[in-house]
Amino acid sequence: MGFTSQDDLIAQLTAGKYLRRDHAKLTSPAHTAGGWHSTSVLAGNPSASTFPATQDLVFQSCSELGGDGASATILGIHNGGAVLPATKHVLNVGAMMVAAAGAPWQAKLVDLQGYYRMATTNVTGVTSRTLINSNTFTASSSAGLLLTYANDFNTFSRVRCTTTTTLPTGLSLATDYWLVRVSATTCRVATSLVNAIAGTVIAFTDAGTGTHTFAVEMPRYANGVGCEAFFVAQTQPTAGGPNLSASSYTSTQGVAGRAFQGSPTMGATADAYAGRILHSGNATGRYGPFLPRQGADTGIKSIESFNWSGGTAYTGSGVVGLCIARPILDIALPVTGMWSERDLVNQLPSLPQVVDGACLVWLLFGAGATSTASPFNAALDFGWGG
Amino acid sequence: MPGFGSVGQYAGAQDAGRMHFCSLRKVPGQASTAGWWVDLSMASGNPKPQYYASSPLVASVFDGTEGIFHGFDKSPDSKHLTEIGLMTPTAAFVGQFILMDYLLYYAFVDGDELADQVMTNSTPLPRYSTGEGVMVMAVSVAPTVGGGSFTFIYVNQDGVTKTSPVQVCSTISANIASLATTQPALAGAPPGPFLTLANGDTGVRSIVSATFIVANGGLLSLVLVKTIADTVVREINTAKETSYVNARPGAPRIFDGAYLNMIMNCAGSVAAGTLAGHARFVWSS
Repeated sequence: MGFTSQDDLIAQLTAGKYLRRDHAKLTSPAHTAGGWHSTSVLAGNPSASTFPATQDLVFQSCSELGGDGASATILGIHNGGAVLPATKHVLNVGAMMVAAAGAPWQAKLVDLQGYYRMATTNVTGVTSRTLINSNTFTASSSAGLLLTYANDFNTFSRVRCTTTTTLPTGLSLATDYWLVRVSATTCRVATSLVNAIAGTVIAFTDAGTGTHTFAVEMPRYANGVGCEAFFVAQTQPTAGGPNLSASSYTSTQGVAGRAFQGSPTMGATADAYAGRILHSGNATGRYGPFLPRQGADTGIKSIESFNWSGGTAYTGSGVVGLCIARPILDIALPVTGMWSERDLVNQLPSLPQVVDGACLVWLLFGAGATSTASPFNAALDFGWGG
Repeated sequence: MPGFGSVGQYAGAQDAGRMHFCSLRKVPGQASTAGWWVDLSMASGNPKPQYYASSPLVASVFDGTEGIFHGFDKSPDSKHLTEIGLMTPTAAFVGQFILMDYLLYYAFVDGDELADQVMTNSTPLPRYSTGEGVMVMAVSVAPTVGGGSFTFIYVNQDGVTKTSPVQVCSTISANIASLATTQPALAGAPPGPFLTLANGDTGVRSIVSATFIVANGGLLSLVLVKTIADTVVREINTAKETSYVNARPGAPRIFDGAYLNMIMNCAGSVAAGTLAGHARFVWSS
């Protein structure tokens, strides 16, 4: 797994296990000072995402090839597909910002696991929003084992199944499966991400007995280890600025009912424009870029609910994504127009792993107010071995 | 036993999600003068500023969640600082920085009062309870006139009451957020950002009283701090990242509840300048 030595690294790279990917985004609108932003909603390469989903509050797993939500926009930086049984790592990162104002910046690469989309009343409401991480399903035959359920989950979602009696043949308890979306309420099932991408699905034998349920998992990190959460605006609300008055998530350690700490405050509408991480900034209750986890929690397995009943409720017709992501690396951009690079072979911690299927997205922090239409360019060098 | 036994354990902590990251941004509103030490806890930005606003002469503590944010309590695990990154486009921000755990302060010590100003100590040190390694800094919270001097009586790290040597204040006005005893080339002044203690003392547990020998004007806060780490900004428009895992003797421990912030030895007026950066912490299993 990985590289056993510098010599092995060189051997693997010279054998062709190397990929470089350049990408670019354009800020819009102007960013206010001191905020964190998700570049996933910005135009450029890869494409902008709008946090699509046919249904609000349903966890939409994101992946390199599965993209986002039902529209499957490929929003993550291409990183070369699955390389199992090898493991893929970032060797070097470079980035640059060119802006008339706003320096310095800090960029953080994350692997976006997915998001819960919220629109209209789910943005403006002051009652608890219950998030959907599981569905009951029935099984039938249609070019393989076909699951039918209520909500629309994204293709390549990783799930685990439970049942009151007996699961359909081909499915087992405590085992990961990957959904291959067929429609808003149906999917087939694969035993690995590679099989899901290839369309190799589990055959139908029987429908099992009893009531079956699948629950989505973080797609690439067991029990969401190391994962963080953050709210990102996609469409700006008209007015308001609520507080996160309550929340409930399940930690990586498997403890339910955990709560994000510190009573985070969401930005007023001037700081709630597209791309803004709502709880970052310069005031009381602003935490950037991530919502503070409770105690010694080491990650987020799922988020069950939250409430914005404090402060002033948003109005209008905003769209917000509650995202879950695993941080990968950071790079500082101290001045406009200067390319920064970070060698990740020799620095500690070194060679951050990019798990197969990773949906790589940059988060961007601006110390000053950053001009609109400012290009953010970056490049990643990947190598894999093992 | 809490803590880390190897670099591998540090790296493993990050893989296992036992890591916290925070960004910071400071845009001071207060002017400063080259060579003085400046308290960035009073500067606007994130974390939000604090103004040493509490009852005069009463020992008061800070809310740890309102400083440079290191996450919530990890006990019985132990949390450590592993990295600080700083960068600035402002020449005045080039210089030495000290990250500190701000423990306790006595607000509004009157620089015009020549009688003993007796402190109320109903609140003990929240961390480093013996006072070992705890230093005192005199932060101007209302501009001083300058030219004054004072002594203070304190309880040292062994619980013994001592009287400090005379602390010479700047000969000119100390701006808000500047450390009033740090004017460069000031004869008799403490040799750094912290007040001078009696011979042999290595820390302060509490301050009993302060007495101005010569009036200095303005208002001071006497702040008890524990230094955590040092770093530096070497030049503008260049990021400086300091790893406390492999570039220092070890990653310093951050205790639950710590209020973290920084002072810096400025190269000019930091007013309206911009400092940005980040800090990274890991905790043991």
